[in-house]
Amino acid sequence: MSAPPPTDHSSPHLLDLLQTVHKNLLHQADWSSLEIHTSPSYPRPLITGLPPDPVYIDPDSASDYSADDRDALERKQQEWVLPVALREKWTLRKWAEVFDSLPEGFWGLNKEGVEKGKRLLLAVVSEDSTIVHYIVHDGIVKPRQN
Amino acid sequence: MTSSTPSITITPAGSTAAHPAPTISLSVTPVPPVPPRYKKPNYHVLHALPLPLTTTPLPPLIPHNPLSLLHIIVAYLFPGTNSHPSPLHVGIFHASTHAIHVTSQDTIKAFWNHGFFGKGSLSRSEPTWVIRRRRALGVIGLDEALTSEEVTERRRGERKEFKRERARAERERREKQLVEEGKIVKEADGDEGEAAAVVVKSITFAAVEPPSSRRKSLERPAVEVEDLEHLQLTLEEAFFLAFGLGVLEIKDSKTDEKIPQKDLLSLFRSHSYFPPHTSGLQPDDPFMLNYVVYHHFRSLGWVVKPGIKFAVDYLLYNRGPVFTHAEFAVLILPAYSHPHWDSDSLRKEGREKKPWHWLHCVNRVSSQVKKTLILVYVEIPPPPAVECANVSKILSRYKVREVALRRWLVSRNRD
Repeated sequence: MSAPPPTDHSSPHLLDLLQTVHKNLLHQADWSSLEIHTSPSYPRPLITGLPPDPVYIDPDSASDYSADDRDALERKQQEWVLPVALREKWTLRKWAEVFDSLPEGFWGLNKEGVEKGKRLLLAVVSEDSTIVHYIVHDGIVKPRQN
Repeated sequence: MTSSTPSITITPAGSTAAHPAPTISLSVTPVPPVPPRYKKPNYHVLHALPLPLTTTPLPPLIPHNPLSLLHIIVAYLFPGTNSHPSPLHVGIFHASTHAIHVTSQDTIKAFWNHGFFGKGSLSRSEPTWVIRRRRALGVIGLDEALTSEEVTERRRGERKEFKRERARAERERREKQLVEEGKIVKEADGDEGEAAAVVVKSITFAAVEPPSSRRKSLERPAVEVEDLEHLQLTLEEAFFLAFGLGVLEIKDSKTDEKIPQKDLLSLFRSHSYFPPHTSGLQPDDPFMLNYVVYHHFRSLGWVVKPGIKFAVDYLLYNRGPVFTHAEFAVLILPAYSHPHWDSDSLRKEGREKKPWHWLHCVNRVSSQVKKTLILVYVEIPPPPAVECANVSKILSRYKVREVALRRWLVSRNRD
């Protein structure tokens, strides 16, 4: 079996993946203020954008506010999106590298005034154009109350 | 709606009639406006053909009429209609998405309506992005030609509203209880204000107006919406349509030239890896494994769709996704029983063996969505078997075995 070529932040196949996810977020998921990040400071091309509805609600703030306030509180939160392919071999190291490259303090402070942990949306692209999203946190977070 | 209006004629009190008008106190409940109904397409007619091919049955054989045999022979030798479209449907292979894109509306209709091939690149299944876009821009009415995505969205919205209302009622009930028990003292004015707000809310009615007049009064912008969506065929679907049925011609996106049938297999096999492999193709390439299983179930009449959302490889629909939910979830497992693989511990140990808890996980997910899990074992032939150029010969070397799996609970199956 031939060894796969080393993944570079500007490899054409990663940029293709970026385009697919970008088009999907813009036209199907109705995200706004989408921006593409392909600078060498990131291990892989990334996308930031504003989702139409909050993608994640911090359980700490959830108990304090009523449902409407909570939506307003989280609405303005930009999210980082990491496009990956379904057929690609993914490792924890790759995740750690991406998290290390994300800016600190992007997600604001929590109730105790401590910076919230980093998080991103993993966009897994499959061949039939289905994109499955996962919320990934850098470390353990408080579970959501159902 | 005329059925709910009371059939009593009442002369107005101030009329000029000689007889005094009878005083009838009648409370007429306002008739809620009936939303305009848009008929669903008849799916049984729309999806009558199971594959994008036209078939014509032979004339019947009547034993006492020898001429009918002649009729059959003529119909057999000189078929009136061609089963295949002419020219063939065209799809474009894009290396950027590892898939085949179809943009011609006729081809999209043919592939989706007859066999449910492909997926709209900006939709959940059927390409409907342009309908949703036009509705968002106000080109078509609010309830016109609802797409499956919109139906789901409305249902979720209603559910969310119901839950919010339920939580509010629960909170109010709890507060009232506490006030009655004297545990908390509520400010009187705040309570009244809230109560008034509730009353106001409950007597708001939608304007009673026939829907036809409303639709006419709404001026619709005449915007031409460009369709940004395409039908995306996976490599397996495209290969089945091109090789299996012969109704699809595949062109390359870069050169815009037809890719010859003999090059398709190696192209698709190399693109079943990410990033694509240029050499070292194996008999257990993801494409070979998937295609063998795809072809197997398609030729048995199932509608096969990718099942990534349910953590499996394929979903099997009895007639198609518009009729029923998928009944079966297919998981593809390579089997290396051929003596050639005996010494290959990477495959024997690494890819063939799976832990029990893995199986339990997948099965739990499948039973949660009411699907029966089917493990499909594909016997992998040794590498020389897939070197030849004859695709049928290569495929005949693969063997498929199925195992259907269901969790059995002792306590629930006692009787």
